Amino acid sequence: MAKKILIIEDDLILAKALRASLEEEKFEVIEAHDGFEGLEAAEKNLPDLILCDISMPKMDGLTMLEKMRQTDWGQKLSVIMLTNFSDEEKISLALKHSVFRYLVKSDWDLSQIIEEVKKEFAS
Amino acid sequence: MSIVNNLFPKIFSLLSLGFIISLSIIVLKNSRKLVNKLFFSLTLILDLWVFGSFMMFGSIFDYQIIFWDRFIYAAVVFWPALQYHFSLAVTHFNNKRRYLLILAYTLTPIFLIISQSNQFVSGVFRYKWGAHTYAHSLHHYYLAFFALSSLLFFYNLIKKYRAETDRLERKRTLYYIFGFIVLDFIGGSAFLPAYQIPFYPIFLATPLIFSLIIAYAITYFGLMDIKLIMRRYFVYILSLFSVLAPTYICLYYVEIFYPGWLFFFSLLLFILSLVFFLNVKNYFYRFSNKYFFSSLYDFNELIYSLNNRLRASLDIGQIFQSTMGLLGQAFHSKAIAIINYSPRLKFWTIVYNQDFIFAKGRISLNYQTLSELFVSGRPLALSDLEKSNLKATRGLFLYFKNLNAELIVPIKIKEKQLSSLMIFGPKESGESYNAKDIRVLESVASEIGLSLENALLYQSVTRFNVKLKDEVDKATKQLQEQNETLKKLDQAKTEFIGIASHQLRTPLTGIRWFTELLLKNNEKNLSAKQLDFLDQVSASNQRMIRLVNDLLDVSHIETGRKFDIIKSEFRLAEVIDEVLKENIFLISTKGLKIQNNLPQDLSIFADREKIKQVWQNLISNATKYSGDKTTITITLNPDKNKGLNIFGVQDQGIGIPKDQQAQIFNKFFRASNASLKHSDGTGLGLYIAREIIRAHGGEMWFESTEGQGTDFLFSLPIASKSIPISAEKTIIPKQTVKANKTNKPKQ
Repeated sequence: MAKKILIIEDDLILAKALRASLEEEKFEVIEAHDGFEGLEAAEKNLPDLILCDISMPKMDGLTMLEKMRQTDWGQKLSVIMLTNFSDEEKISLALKHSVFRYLVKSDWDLSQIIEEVKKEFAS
Repeated sequence: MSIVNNLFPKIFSLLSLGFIISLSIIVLKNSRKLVNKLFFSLTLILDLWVFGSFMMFGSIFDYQIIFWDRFIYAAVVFWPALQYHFSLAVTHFNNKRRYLLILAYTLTPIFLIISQSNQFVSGVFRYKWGAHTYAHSLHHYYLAFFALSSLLFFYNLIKKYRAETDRLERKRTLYYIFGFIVLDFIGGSAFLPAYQIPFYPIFLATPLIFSLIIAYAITYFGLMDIKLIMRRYFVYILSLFSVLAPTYICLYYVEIFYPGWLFFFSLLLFILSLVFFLNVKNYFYRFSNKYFFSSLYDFNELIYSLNNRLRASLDIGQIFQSTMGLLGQAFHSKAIAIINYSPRLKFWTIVYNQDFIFAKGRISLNYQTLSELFVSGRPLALSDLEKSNLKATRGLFLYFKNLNAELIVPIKIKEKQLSSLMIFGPKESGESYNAKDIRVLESVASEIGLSLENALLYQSVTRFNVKLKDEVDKATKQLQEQNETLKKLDQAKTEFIGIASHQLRTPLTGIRWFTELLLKNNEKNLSAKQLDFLDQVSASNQRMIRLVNDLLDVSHIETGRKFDIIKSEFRLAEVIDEVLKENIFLISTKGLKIQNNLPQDLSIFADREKIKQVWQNLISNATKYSGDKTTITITLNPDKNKGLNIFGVQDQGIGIPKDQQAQIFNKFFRASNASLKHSDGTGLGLYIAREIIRAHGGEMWFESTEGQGTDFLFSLPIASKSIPISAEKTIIPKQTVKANKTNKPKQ
């Protein structure tokens, strides 16, 4: 059974590239474009992994994460933060919410992200 | 007639006794000097002489008369030697005079003994006004001794009088001569009855006359440096007399008319006397100062209080006020003033005036003429000015004459520049200013001059300070405003860089990822050439991303946030290998040799990603600026003493020009030869690298010679991993620990 991955990303171009890459690797991809949508989709689908942006309209990634971690279903979901914020403040905030990895998008190739995702499922 | 015959000699002798005893006591009060000691001894002899004579004149029986006469001689035999000694003390000693003095003192005890024998005096000669013993053979010798001593005394003093140039000293000598003429010649008439020559005993009045002469000389000419004591006696005796005399007169009449009230009146008058005594005393004090002791002031005390007042003030007006007040008290001048010359305004102004009447309008004194006149700095008496009779000074003389001035004292500043004139009117007592007054005023003037100089300096310094403070305040305010503006600008710039960089990252990521997807060529429909072009897009994009990352780092540092160092232990060789791999393209193209001297198993405890960034920067710089087929050496030199590891990246490249070495760590700076060789640097790498090393507690520096190569060095503490100071900041749940340093991928 294919692993379900939820991409929460407001930039449609980046979301598209991610989806293409992940689907190529036979993952089931669900897409959301802001924090609200992301929270709903997560609850509805209970994905195996969430790739989450931070800077988003309506609700940002960190707030969403905080809310999700307060729910029963959301406590143990795996999350990789995928963002363009690189300041330590944001990183520590994210790490507080049991985030598995924190990746700065522009520093990473898609192939490398796939590797990280696979690593996550392997552990 | 009996009054003249009997009473006058007695009154004379009593008055003489009183005065001479007073003089003895006064002289004794200040007996430190030889002159005073000798003078005291002489007055003591006179005391005994007059007392003996008084007793002798009141005696009836022969034995009484002989007794008192011998008593007199026992004292008088000392006179010749003491008198001679005194003449030496007021003139001078020399060997010849000393021998004579010793001789005189040797003869004195001999005469003392023989004066008590019958061969000296015996028997009684009674005459109309009194009685005396007969002189015998030995008495003649004493008389000769007395006459010789007197002659030598006058010889010494007259010689001194003629040779003396000091006016005051001459006057003093003259008074001694007068005094002793009275004693030796008129007083000497006391010897006449011994040779049966009846002579009215006027000698009994001689000590009285002598005392008056000497007292006068003491008060007016400072004859014996006992003026202060004289004044005190004078004031006390006079005050006591003024209070007691009316009291006694009152009591006398009360006793006659109201004997019953005597006790009450005595008490009342006693209390009144007590109340008035102090006032009376002060009155006489002022009175005596004004008319008898006007030149009497204690020089040391005057200078001392003057200094105190001058020291207390840096205000010119105050300096004049306080000093002139003091001088007025000391000299009792009828009028006193200071005029001051302003070199800027070129005229004189009256800064202090008490009782002079200046003509209206400007003071018409020629500054130049006065300057020349007072070139020596000595005060000038108006009489001196009159004598000089020069045409130029004639006008000055007339001006001061009209003003009724008597003495003009110049005050100079800066050693020679005439600044002010102190003008003194005549003294209240009518005396003229003596040599001592002038000496005192001269030194007072120089003291005032110094104070004026200080005050002027202080004034100009204060004025300058005020101006300076204004300027500084203005400049400071300007700088503060500029600083605020700059701060705001800088902050805006930093914020802009932060936002811009972050916003840039998203489209760059898009390019990166889609280029990557294209490069996969999944459809297999892209030509080799197209793929090569895509590689170029990818490389450019990567460079753009690095640039943005650098900018973000800088903005991070600039906003004052230190790097958050997330430390972990890692093998350094691994990091170096990664960095070398990233640079392999250039290394292999240039055929560079990498000499890695680091131990393969060296682990360090630091922020892996940031340390990697440093190595990346240094190694990529080294490869960029190295010539083909040269060697890059990676070194390690532990400094155990300081607990530091010193790492180095040494190349044989173009080096850094000497004049630009100081700027190499400045952000956005690129050496001129570097920008010629590679145009893609931002000038941020070294700046960031050094900040990273500093955030780790280390330092970065370099050694470089242009054309020969550069050796970049940095130190890192050999830290024990048990104290990860900054690590505590990262509160990481256990299951995610390994995540914290993967925010950058391996490439």
